[in-house]
Amino acid sequence: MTAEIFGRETGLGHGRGGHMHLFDPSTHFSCSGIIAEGFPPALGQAFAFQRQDSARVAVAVTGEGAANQGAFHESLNLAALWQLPVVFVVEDNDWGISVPRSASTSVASNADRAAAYGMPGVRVEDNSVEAVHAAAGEAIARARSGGGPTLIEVHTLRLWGHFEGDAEGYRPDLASVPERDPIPIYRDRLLETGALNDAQYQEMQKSAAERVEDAIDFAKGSPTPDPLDHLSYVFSEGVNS
Amino acid sequence: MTATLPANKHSLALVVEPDAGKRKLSTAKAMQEAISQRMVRDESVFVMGEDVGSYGGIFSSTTGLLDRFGPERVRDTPISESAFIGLGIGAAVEGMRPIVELMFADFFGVCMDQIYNHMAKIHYESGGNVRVPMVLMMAAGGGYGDGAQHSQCLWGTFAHLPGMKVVVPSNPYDAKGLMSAAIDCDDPVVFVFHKGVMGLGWMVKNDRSIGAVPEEEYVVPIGKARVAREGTDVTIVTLSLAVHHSLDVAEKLESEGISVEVIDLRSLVPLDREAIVRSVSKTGRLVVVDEDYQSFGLSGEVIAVVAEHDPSLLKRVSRVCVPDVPIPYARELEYAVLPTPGRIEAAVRNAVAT
Repeated sequence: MTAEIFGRETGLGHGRGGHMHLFDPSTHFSCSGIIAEGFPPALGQAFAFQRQDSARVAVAVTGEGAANQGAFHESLNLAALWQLPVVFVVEDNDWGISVPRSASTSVASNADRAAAYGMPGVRVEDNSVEAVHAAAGEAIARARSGGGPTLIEVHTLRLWGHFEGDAEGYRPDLASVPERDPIPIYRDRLLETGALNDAQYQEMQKSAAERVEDAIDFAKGSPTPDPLDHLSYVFSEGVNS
Repeated sequence: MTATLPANKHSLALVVEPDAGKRKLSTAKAMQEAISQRMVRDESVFVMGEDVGSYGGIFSSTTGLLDRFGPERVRDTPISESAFIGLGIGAAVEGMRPIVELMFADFFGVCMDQIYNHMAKIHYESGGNVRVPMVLMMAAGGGYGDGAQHSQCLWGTFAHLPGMKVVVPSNPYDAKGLMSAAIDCDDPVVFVFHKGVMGLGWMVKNDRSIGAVPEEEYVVPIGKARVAREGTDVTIVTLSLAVHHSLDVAEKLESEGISVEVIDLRSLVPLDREAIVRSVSKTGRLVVVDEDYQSFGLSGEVIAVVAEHDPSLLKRVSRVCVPDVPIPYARELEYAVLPTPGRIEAAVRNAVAT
């Protein structure tokens, strides 16, 4: 994945996709650069899992800004109608680039919109790992047992600008953001309860940092695609005519 | 239900373009037969779209399939084209072979993102690691008073955008063979059928929309044009319903000693450039007939193929297309913009006049 983001031949898409278009068939992972338009293909993956009698469940993730797109609503209706094993997750970070949620969305909670499609809707307010885990577990179990889709909205926060270099002049509450980062909050909780000791935490942090560094080193050390090969992969049988 | 679905069960190579035999079918029935035969062979093939079930497709592309294969594999959808075309994409990514109907080509406006940004690009963006073996079929064309939003061809728009094969059959034999090839294809195929070639009782139609079709399974390879009629004076390069009109014109002009060659492209992507150049090399006169809009489309592309190969081949060149105007409703106006036999005949006469 890192190599793909760096545009290298060793990347997931041999440098053809890039950071917004990552596909990893080994994990059934895919993404779309178009807001809410990743939802319809997720229905198809859920449909295939259902037809294949697989225990797999499709999980489609988007932001709260996408919940005002037509494809979002079409997808919720069809998933509920056909009782597809899919979990829809909306990450509500209060901002669609520079537009606050209050200026984009007519309802206080997108989870309320689930009722319009006859599916359960859950809003997780506290942005905690445990609450998200619990809501997701329930939704996945429901999907797996034939109970159809669930819509989960998680109220979270945007830790950084929408893009690298976003000065965020439109956002007055930046100073309070780091304290609400769920990862250090959960770390502290694990340390307090003794579920994790400091040595273990240091080891986890070191190992994660090394993994990231290794990925970046691999990407930087990988070859770039051959410019003469720019016609490959349009079609499955080879170079586009 | 099967526990696992292989990515491609089409290992059995099919006969390529066998003799037509004597049994006659309409284009609609030929398409139905191709889909049905592939569904029998492969559990991963399913059909989905608006009114494809008990209605059998508004233009009869799926008649009888629900009774034979049941509602699990022949699915009526809500009027949510983004959702169900996207569903087809996701199912194809997971190894199924969906045949999805967009009722009218004109309706792409409500779902184009799924078509050109997802269906057509996933294979490329994934560096060839994810395939989308899906057929997106749709009805196209005018001539029956359905107005500007239900009469367009638009195949040139799909062909302009990379990543989709675009197939446009003109007759029953090709429709069956091309549909079989489209289902077998590991890439997304846009399969555009003109309402006027389907052989429907309630639609204006040409006798050529009913023809001989083998009962066996076979393929017509995607990307290979057909010389629908050999000739020496003028080449007509065309496709779909306009092939019928062009053949009618060629037959009429034969008695006057004008020999017309008719090339049925059968697909826009891939475009059989060799077939175009081969014919124009012989005749030196080219008339492109296309029911799509004239500017920025297939007709200009065909001429460019010849011009880039060798501009000195072209003694005369002209186009018979829909001028750049929405399809009018009133019959007199509609038939003024469609590529009618009268307009084609005039273009051919003009081509041989000098």
